[in-house]
Amino acid sequence: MLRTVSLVCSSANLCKNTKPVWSLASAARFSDKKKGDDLETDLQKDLKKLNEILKTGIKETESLNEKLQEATPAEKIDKNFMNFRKQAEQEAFKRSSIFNWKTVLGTFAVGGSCLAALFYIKKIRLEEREKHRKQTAGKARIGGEWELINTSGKLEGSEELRGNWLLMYFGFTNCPDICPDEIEKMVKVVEIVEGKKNAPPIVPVFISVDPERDSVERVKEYCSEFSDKLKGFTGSQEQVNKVAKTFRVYHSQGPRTSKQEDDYIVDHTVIMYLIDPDGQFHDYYGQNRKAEEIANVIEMKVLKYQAQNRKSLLNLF
Amino acid sequence: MGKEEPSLKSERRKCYEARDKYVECIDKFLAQGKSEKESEKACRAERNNFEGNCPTSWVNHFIRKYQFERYKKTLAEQGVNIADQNALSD
Repeated sequence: MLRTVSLVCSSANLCKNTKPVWSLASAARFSDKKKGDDLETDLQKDLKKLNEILKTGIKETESLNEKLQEATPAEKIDKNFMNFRKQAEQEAFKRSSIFNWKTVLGTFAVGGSCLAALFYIKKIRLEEREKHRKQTAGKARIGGEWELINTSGKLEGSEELRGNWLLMYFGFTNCPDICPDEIEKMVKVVEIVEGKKNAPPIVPVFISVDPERDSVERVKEYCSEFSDKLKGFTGSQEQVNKVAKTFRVYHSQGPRTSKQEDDYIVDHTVIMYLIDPDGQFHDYYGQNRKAEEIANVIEMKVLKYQAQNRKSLLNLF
Repeated sequence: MGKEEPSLKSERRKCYEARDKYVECIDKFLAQGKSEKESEKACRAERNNFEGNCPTSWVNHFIRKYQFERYKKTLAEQGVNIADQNALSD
Protein backbone atom coordinates (compact mmCIF):
# COMPACT_ATOMS: atom_id res chain seq x y z
CA MET A 1 0.00 0.00 0.00
CA LEU A 2 2.72 2.41 1.02
CA ARG A 3 4.62 1.58 -2.09
CA THR A 4 1.68 2.28 -4.37
CA VAL A 5 1.00 5.58 -2.65
CA SER A 6 4.59 6.66 -3.17
CA LEU A 7 4.38 5.56 -6.76
CA VAL A 8 1.28 7.62 -7.35
CA CYS A 9 2.92 10.54 -5.63
CA SER A 10 6.02 10.30 -7.78
CA SER A 11 3.90 10.23 -10.93
CA ALA A 12 1.99 13.30 -9.66
CA ASN A 13 5.29 15.11 -9.13
CA LEU A 14 6.22 14.23 -12.62
CA CYS A 15 2.93 15.68 -13.76
CA LYS A 16 3.57 18.90 -11.87
CA ASN A 17 7.04 19.05 -13.29
CA THR A 18 5.78 18.58 -16.82
CA LYS A 19 3.61 21.67 -16.80
CA PRO A 20 6.42 24.22 -16.24
CA VAL A 21 8.54 22.24 -18.69
CA TRP A 22 5.77 22.48 -21.23
CA SER A 23 5.12 26.26 -20.62
CA LEU A 24 8.83 26.95 -20.87
CA ALA A 25 8.89 25.10 -24.19
CA SER A 26 5.97 27.19 -25.61
CA ALA A 27 7.63 30.43 -24.51
CA ALA A 28 10.84 29.37 -26.24
CA ARG A 29 8.87 28.62 -29.41
CA PHE A 30 7.82 32.31 -29.62
CA SER A 31 11.36 33.60 -29.13
CA ASP A 32 13.32 31.30 -31.43
CA LYS A 33 11.74 29.30 -34.31
CA LYS A 34 14.78 27.15 -35.25
CA LYS A 35 15.56 26.30 -31.72
CA GLY A 36 11.85 25.84 -31.27
CA ASP A 37 11.71 22.95 -33.78
CA ASP A 38 14.41 21.05 -31.92
CA LEU A 39 12.78 21.84 -28.70
CA GLU A 40 9.42 20.73 -30.06
CA THR A 41 10.74 17.26 -30.94
CA ASP A 42 12.53 17.00 -27.59
CA LEU A 43 9.40 18.03 -25.78
CA GLN A 44 7.30 15.57 -27.73
CA LYS A 45 9.72 12.82 -26.82
CA ASP A 46 9.62 13.83 -23.18
CA LEU A 47 5.82 13.96 -23.24
CA LYS A 48 5.65 10.50 -24.76
CA LYS A 49 8.00 9.21 -22.08
CA LEU A 50 5.99 10.89 -19.40
CA ASN A 51 2.72 9.52 -20.75
CA GLU A 52 4.20 6.06 -20.88
CA ILE A 53 5.47 6.36 -17.31
CA LEU A 54 2.07 7.64 -16.23
CA LYS A 55 0.26 4.85 -18.02
CA THR A 56 2.44 2.16 -16.50
CA GLY A 57 2.10 3.83 -13.10
CA ILE A 58 -1.66 3.92 -13.37
CA LYS A 59 -1.72 0.35 -14.60
CA GLU A 60 0.47 -0.69 -11.73
CA THR A 61 -1.72 1.01 -9.17
CA GLU A 62 -4.83 -0.41 -10.82
CA SER A 63 -3.45 -3.92 -10.81
CA LEU A 64 -2.28 -3.46 -7.21
CA ASN A 65 -5.72 -2.21 -6.25
CA GLU A 66 -7.27 -5.15 -7.99
CA LYS A 67 -4.93 -7.47 -6.16
CA LEU A 68 -5.81 -5.77 -2.87
CA GLN A 69 -9.50 -6.09 -3.54
CA GLU A 70 -9.07 -9.71 -4.39
CA ALA A 71 -7.03 -10.27 -1.27
CA THR A 72 -9.44 -8.69 1.24
CA PRO A 73 -12.18 -11.40 1.22
CA ALA A 74 -9.52 -14.08 1.56
CA GLU A 75 -8.03 -12.18 4.46
CA LYS A 76 -11.45 -12.11 6.19
CA ILE A 77 -11.70 -15.93 6.08
CA ASP A 78 -8.10 -16.12 7.20
CA LYS A 79 -8.93 -14.17 10.35
CA ASN A 80 -11.43 -16.75 11.49
CA PHE A 81 -9.46 -19.64 10.16
CA MET A 82 -6.33 -18.68 11.99
CA ASN A 83 -8.12 -18.32 15.36
CA PHE A 84 -6.82 -21.54 16.83
CA ARG A 85 -8.38 -21.11 20.26
CA LYS A 86 -11.87 -20.73 18.89
CA GLN A 87 -11.28 -23.56 16.48
CA ALA A 88 -10.09 -25.84 19.25
CA GLU A 89 -13.11 -24.88 21.31
CA GLN A 90 -15.43 -25.68 18.48
CA GLU A 91 -13.82 -29.02 17.89
CA ALA A 92 -13.90 -29.83 21.59
CA PHE A 93 -17.57 -28.94 21.65
CA LYS A 94 -18.23 -31.18 18.67
CA ARG A 95 -16.28 -34.00 20.27
CA SER A 96 -17.92 -33.55 23.67
CA SER A 97 -21.41 -33.53 22.23
CA ILE A 98 -20.69 -36.73 20.35
CA PHE A 99 -19.17 -38.28 23.45
CA ASN A 100 -22.22 -37.35 25.60
CA TRP A 101 -24.58 -38.79 23.12
CA LYS A 102 -22.58 -42.01 23.04
CA THR A 103 -22.43 -42.14 26.81
CA VAL A 104 -26.17 -41.75 27.13
CA LEU A 105 -26.73 -44.56 24.66
CA GLY A 106 -24.13 -46.71 26.38
CA THR A 107 -25.61 -46.05 29.81
CA PHE A 108 -29.05 -47.03 28.62
CA ALA A 109 -27.71 -50.17 26.98
CA VAL A 110 -25.66 -51.31 30.00
CA GLY A 111 -28.29 -50.28 32.55
CA GLY A 112 -31.03 -51.92 30.57
CA SER A 113 -29.18 -55.20 30.27
CA CYS A 114 -28.31 -55.08 33.99
CA LEU A 115 -31.96 -54.54 34.88
CA ALA A 116 -32.98 -57.36 32.60
CA ALA A 117 -30.41 -59.62 34.26
CA LEU A 118 -31.66 -58.62 37.71
CA PHE A 119 -35.25 -59.33 36.80
CA TYR A 120 -34.22 -62.67 35.38
CA ILE A 121 -32.31 -63.59 38.57
CA LYS A 122 -35.27 -62.49 40.65
CA LYS A 123 -37.58 -64.68 38.63
CA ILE A 124 -35.27 -67.67 39.06
CA ARG A 125 -35.01 -67.04 42.77
CA LEU A 126 -38.75 -66.78 43.18
CA GLU A 127 -39.20 -70.02 41.30
CA GLU A 128 -36.56 -71.68 43.46
CA ARG A 129 -38.19 -70.45 46.61
CA GLU A 130 -41.57 -71.64 45.45
CA LYS A 131 -40.02 -75.02 44.74
CA HIS A 132 -38.38 -75.06 48.15
CA ARG A 133 -41.65 -74.07 49.81
CA LYS A 134 -43.41 -76.92 48.10
CA GLN A 135 -40.69 -79.29 49.24
CA THR A 136 -40.94 -78.18 52.85
CA ALA A 137 -44.70 -78.23 52.84
CA GLY A 138 -46.21 -79.68 55.94
CA LYS A 139 -44.36 -77.49 58.40
CA ALA A 140 -44.98 -78.49 62.01
CA ARG A 141 -48.02 -76.74 63.36
CA ILE A 142 -46.32 -75.86 66.60
CA GLY A 143 -46.50 -72.51 68.27
CA GLY A 144 -48.47 -69.42 67.52
CA GLU A 145 -49.99 -66.52 69.40
CA TRP A 146 -49.97 -66.78 73.15
CA GLU A 147 -50.41 -64.57 76.18
CA LEU A 148 -49.61 -65.18 79.84
CA ILE A 149 -48.76 -63.26 82.98
CA ASN A 150 -45.13 -62.24 83.31
CA THR A 151 -43.12 -61.88 86.51
CA SER A 152 -44.32 -58.28 86.88
CA GLY A 153 -47.90 -59.53 86.99
CA LYS A 154 -48.71 -58.07 83.59
CA LEU A 155 -50.06 -59.67 80.46
CA GLU A 156 -47.31 -60.40 77.99
CA GLY A 157 -46.96 -62.78 75.11
CA SER A 158 -45.85 -63.53 71.59
CA GLU A 159 -46.89 -60.05 70.39
CA GLU A 160 -44.61 -58.27 72.87
CA LEU A 161 -41.72 -60.66 72.29
CA ARG A 162 -41.86 -60.46 68.50
CA GLY A 163 -38.58 -59.46 66.90
CA ASN A 164 -36.58 -61.60 69.31
CA TRP A 165 -35.24 -65.09 69.03
CA LEU A 166 -36.84 -67.08 71.84
CA LEU A 167 -35.88 -70.29 73.56
CA MET A 168 -38.96 -71.60 75.32
CA TYR A 169 -39.12 -74.21 78.00
CA PHE A 170 -42.19 -75.53 79.76
CA GLY A 171 -41.82 -76.71 83.34
CA PHE A 172 -42.77 -76.10 86.92
CA THR A 173 -40.95 -74.59 89.84
CA ASN A 174 -41.38 -77.67 92.06
CA CYS A 175 -39.63 -79.74 89.45
CA PRO A 176 -37.10 -82.02 91.16
CA ASP A 177 -34.24 -82.29 88.72
CA ILE A 178 -35.06 -82.18 85.03
CA CYS A 179 -36.38 -78.61 84.88
CA PRO A 180 -33.46 -76.99 86.73
CA ASP A 181 -31.01 -78.91 84.56
CA GLU A 182 -32.84 -77.94 81.39
CA ILE A 183 -33.19 -74.29 82.38
CA GLU A 184 -29.51 -74.17 83.28
CA LYS A 185 -28.76 -75.67 79.90
CA MET A 186 -31.03 -73.13 78.21
CA VAL A 187 -29.27 -70.22 79.94
CA LYS A 188 -25.92 -71.72 78.96
CA VAL A 189 -27.03 -72.02 75.34
CA VAL A 190 -28.09 -68.36 75.35
CA GLU A 191 -24.73 -67.34 76.79
CA ILE A 192 -22.78 -69.40 74.25
CA VAL A 193 -24.76 -68.02 71.32
CA GLU A 194 -24.43 -64.45 72.56
CA GLY A 195 -20.67 -64.92 72.82
CA LYS A 196 -20.50 -65.64 69.12
CA LYS A 197 -19.87 -63.07 66.41
CA ASN A 198 -22.88 -61.48 64.68
CA ALA A 199 -25.27 -63.52 66.79
CA PRO A 200 -28.46 -61.81 67.89
CA PRO A 201 -29.56 -61.97 71.52
CA ILE A 202 -31.80 -64.87 72.43
CA VAL A 203 -34.44 -64.50 75.10
CA PRO A 204 -34.86 -67.55 77.31
CA VAL A 205 -38.48 -68.08 78.33
CA PHE A 206 -39.84 -70.29 81.10
CA ILE A 207 -43.54 -71.16 81.05
CA SER A 208 -45.11 -72.87 84.01
CA VAL A 209 -47.37 -75.83 83.42
CA ASP A 210 -48.28 -75.88 87.10
CA PRO A 211 -50.33 -72.72 87.63
CA GLU A 212 -51.90 -74.19 90.76
CA ARG A 213 -48.68 -73.79 92.72
CA ASP A 214 -46.70 -71.43 90.56
CA SER A 215 -47.71 -67.94 91.51
CA VAL A 216 -46.21 -64.87 89.83
CA GLU A 217 -43.96 -64.31 92.87
CA ARG A 218 -42.79 -67.90 92.91
CA VAL A 219 -41.98 -67.91 89.19
CA LYS A 220 -40.15 -64.62 89.63
CA GLU A 221 -38.04 -66.00 92.47
CA TYR A 222 -37.42 -69.23 90.59
CA CYS A 223 -36.33 -67.55 87.36
CA SER A 224 -34.10 -64.96 89.01
CA GLU A 225 -32.06 -67.84 90.44
CA PHE A 226 -31.04 -68.94 86.98
CA SER A 227 -30.49 -65.71 85.10
CA ASP A 228 -31.68 -62.12 84.92
CA LYS A 229 -32.40 -62.78 81.27
CA LEU A 230 -34.81 -65.62 81.94
CA LYS A 231 -38.41 -64.49 81.46
CA GLY A 232 -40.92 -66.41 83.54
CA PHE A 233 -44.60 -66.81 82.73
CA THR A 234 -47.59 -68.28 84.48
CA GLY A 235 -51.32 -67.74 84.39
CA SER A 236 -54.67 -69.30 85.02
CA GLN A 237 -55.23 -73.00 84.38
CA GLU A 238 -57.07 -72.11 81.15
CA GLN A 239 -54.37 -69.72 79.92
CA VAL A 240 -51.62 -72.25 80.59
CA ASN A 241 -53.56 -75.10 79.01
CA LYS A 242 -54.14 -73.00 75.92
CA VAL A 243 -50.45 -72.13 75.52
CA ALA A 244 -49.39 -75.72 76.20
CA LYS A 245 -51.81 -76.92 73.56
CA THR A 246 -50.51 -74.34 71.07
CA PHE A 247 -47.02 -75.74 71.58
CA ARG A 248 -48.20 -79.35 71.79
CA VAL A 249 -46.79 -79.65 75.29
CA TYR A 250 -48.15 -82.54 77.32
CA HIS A 251 -48.49 -81.94 81.05
CA SER A 252 -50.15 -84.07 83.68
CA GLN A 253 -50.33 -83.64 87.41
CA GLY A 254 -48.95 -86.66 89.27
CA PRO A 255 -50.47 -88.28 92.37
CA ARG A 256 -50.50 -86.19 95.53
CA THR A 257 -48.52 -87.62 98.39
CA SER A 258 -50.50 -88.51 101.50
CA LYS A 259 -48.44 -86.25 103.71
CA GLN A 260 -48.84 -82.99 101.82
CA GLU A 261 -51.81 -81.93 99.73
CA ASP A 262 -49.80 -79.79 97.36
CA ASP A 263 -46.88 -82.13 97.01
CA TYR A 264 -46.91 -83.65 93.60
CA ILE A 265 -44.85 -83.89 90.48
CA VAL A 266 -46.03 -82.69 87.08
CA ASP A 267 -45.13 -84.94 84.23
CA HIS A 268 -44.54 -82.85 81.12
CA THR A 269 -42.85 -82.69 77.75
CA VAL A 270 -39.19 -81.83 78.13
CA ILE A 271 -38.53 -79.88 74.97
CA MET A 272 -36.93 -76.53 74.23
CA TYR A 273 -38.48 -74.55 71.41
CA LEU A 274 -36.65 -72.08 69.22
CA ILE A 275 -38.92 -69.29 68.01
CA ASP A 276 -37.74 -66.89 65.30
CA PRO A 277 -38.26 -63.09 65.29
CA ASP A 278 -41.43 -63.55 63.22
CA GLY A 279 -42.92 -65.50 66.12
CA GLN A 280 -42.75 -68.75 64.15
CA PHE A 281 -41.66 -72.10 65.50
CA HIS A 282 -38.16 -72.68 64.15
CA ASP A 283 -36.66 -75.72 65.87
CA TYR A 284 -36.84 -77.89 68.98
CA TYR A 285 -34.28 -79.53 71.24
CA GLY A 286 -34.79 -82.54 73.45
CA GLN A 287 -33.24 -83.46 76.76
CA ASN A 288 -30.50 -85.49 75.14
CA ARG A 289 -28.96 -82.50 73.36
CA LYS A 290 -25.98 -80.77 74.96
CA ALA A 291 -25.76 -76.99 75.39
CA GLU A 292 -22.82 -76.58 72.97
CA GLU A 293 -24.60 -78.70 70.39
CA ILE A 294 -27.80 -76.65 70.64
CA ALA A 295 -25.84 -73.39 70.52
CA ASN A 296 -24.15 -74.47 67.29
CA VAL A 297 -27.44 -75.48 65.72
CA ILE A 298 -29.04 -72.19 66.74
CA GLU A 299 -26.10 -70.23 65.32
CA MET A 300 -26.56 -71.97 61.98
CA LYS A 301 -30.32 -71.44 62.03
CA VAL A 302 -29.86 -67.76 62.80
CA LEU A 303 -27.35 -67.33 59.96
CA LYS A 304 -29.64 -69.09 57.54
CA TYR A 305 -32.58 -66.98 58.64
CA GLN A 306 -30.56 -63.78 58.26
CA ALA A 307 -29.34 -64.83 54.81
CA GLN A 308 -32.89 -65.56 53.69
CA ASN A 309 -34.10 -62.23 55.00
CA ARG A 310 -31.27 -60.45 53.23
CA LYS A 311 -32.20 -62.27 50.03
CA SER A 312 -35.80 -61.18 50.29
CA LEU A 313 -34.63 -57.62 50.92
CA LEU A 314 -32.52 -57.79 47.77
CA ASN A 315 -35.45 -59.12 45.82
CA LEU A 316 -37.43 -56.02 46.65
CA PHE A 317 -35.21 -54.11 44.27
CA MET B 1 -41.57 -72.07 102.88
CA GLY B 2 -38.93 -74.29 104.54
CA LYS B 3 -37.81 -77.64 103.33
CA GLU B 4 -41.10 -78.57 101.75
CA GLU B 5 -40.67 -76.03 99.01
CA PRO B 6 -37.08 -75.92 97.86
CA SER B 7 -37.63 -73.00 95.54
CA LEU B 8 -34.17 -71.70 96.16
CA LYS B 9 -31.16 -73.18 94.52
CA SER B 10 -29.50 -73.84 97.88
CA GLU B 11 -32.47 -75.88 99.02
CA ARG B 12 -32.39 -77.91 95.86
CA ARG B 13 -28.71 -78.50 96.34
CA LYS B 14 -29.31 -79.60 99.93
CA CYS B 15 -31.85 -82.12 98.69
CA TYR B 16 -29.51 -83.38 95.98
CA GLU B 17 -26.72 -83.82 98.50
CA ALA B 18 -28.97 -85.84 100.82
CA ARG B 19 -30.13 -87.93 97.85
CA ASP B 20 -26.57 -88.58 96.69
CA LYS B 21 -25.58 -89.68 100.19
CA TYR B 22 -28.49 -92.10 100.34
CA VAL B 23 -27.80 -93.51 96.87
CA GLU B 24 -24.13 -93.87 97.69
CA CYS B 25 -25.02 -95.79 100.85
CA ILE B 26 -27.38 -98.17 99.03
CA ASP B 27 -24.81 -98.73 96.29
CA LYS B 28 -22.17 -99.52 98.88
CA PHE B 29 -24.26 -102.21 100.59
CA LEU B 30 -25.47 -103.66 97.33
CA ALA B 31 -21.89 -103.92 96.17
CA GLN B 32 -21.14 -105.90 99.32
CA GLY B 33 -23.67 -108.43 98.07
CA LYS B 34 -26.50 -107.45 100.37
CA SER B 35 -30.11 -107.52 99.23
CA GLU B 36 -32.15 -104.41 98.53
CA LYS B 37 -34.12 -104.64 101.77
CA GLU B 38 -30.97 -105.19 103.81
CA SER B 39 -29.36 -102.22 102.17
CA GLU B 40 -32.36 -100.00 102.82
CA LYS B 41 -32.35 -101.04 106.46
CA ALA B 42 -28.66 -100.30 106.74
CA CYS B 43 -29.19 -96.83 105.23
CA ARG B 44 -32.00 -95.77 107.55
CA ALA B 45 -30.20 -92.63 108.71
CA GLU B 46 -29.41 -91.52 105.17
CA ARG B 47 -33.01 -92.16 104.17
CA ASN B 48 -34.29 -89.96 107.00
CA ASN B 49 -31.88 -87.23 106.01
CA PHE B 50 -33.00 -87.56 102.41
CA GLU B 51 -36.69 -87.29 103.33
CA GLY B 52 -35.94 -84.43 105.68
CA ASN B 53 -34.33 -82.34 102.95
CA CYS B 54 -36.65 -83.13 100.03
CA PRO B 55 -40.39 -83.05 99.46
CA THR B 56 -41.97 -86.51 99.54
CA SER B 57 -42.83 -86.36 95.87
CA TRP B 58 -39.18 -85.68 95.10
CA VAL B 59 -38.03 -88.60 97.23
CA ASN B 60 -40.38 -90.92 95.36
CA HIS B 61 -39.25 -89.49 92.07
CA PHE B 62 -35.56 -89.88 92.83
CA ILE B 63 -35.93 -93.40 94.17
CA ARG B 64 -37.90 -94.47 91.14
CA LYS B 65 -35.32 -92.91 88.92
CA TYR B 66 -32.50 -94.57 90.83
CA GLN B 67 -34.17 -97.94 90.59
CA PHE B 68 -34.74 -97.50 86.89
CA GLU B 69 -31.09 -96.63 86.36
CA ARG B 70 -30.07 -99.72 88.28
CA TYR B 71 -32.49 -101.85 86.29
CA LYS B 72 -30.95 -100.54 83.07
CA LYS B 73 -27.52 -101.36 84.45
CA THR B 74 -28.44 -104.96 85.29
CA LEU B 75 -29.98 -105.34 81.86
CA ALA B 76 -26.77 -104.08 80.28
CA GLU B 77 -24.83 -106.57 82.39
CA GLN B 78 -27.09 -109.32 81.08
CA GLY B 79 -26.16 -108.23 77.56
CA VAL B 80 -29.37 -106.47 76.61
CA ASN B 81 -28.87 -103.71 74.07
CA ILE B 82 -30.15 -100.63 75.86
CA ALA B 83 -29.87 -98.55 72.71
CA ASP B 84 -32.66 -100.72 71.33
CA GLN B 85 -35.76 -98.72 72.15
CA ASN B 86 -37.96 -101.81 72.28
CA ALA B 87 -35.88 -103.39 75.04
CA LEU B 88 -36.82 -100.59 77.44
CA SER B 89 -40.32 -99.78 76.37
CA ASP B 90 -42.66 -99.48 79.30
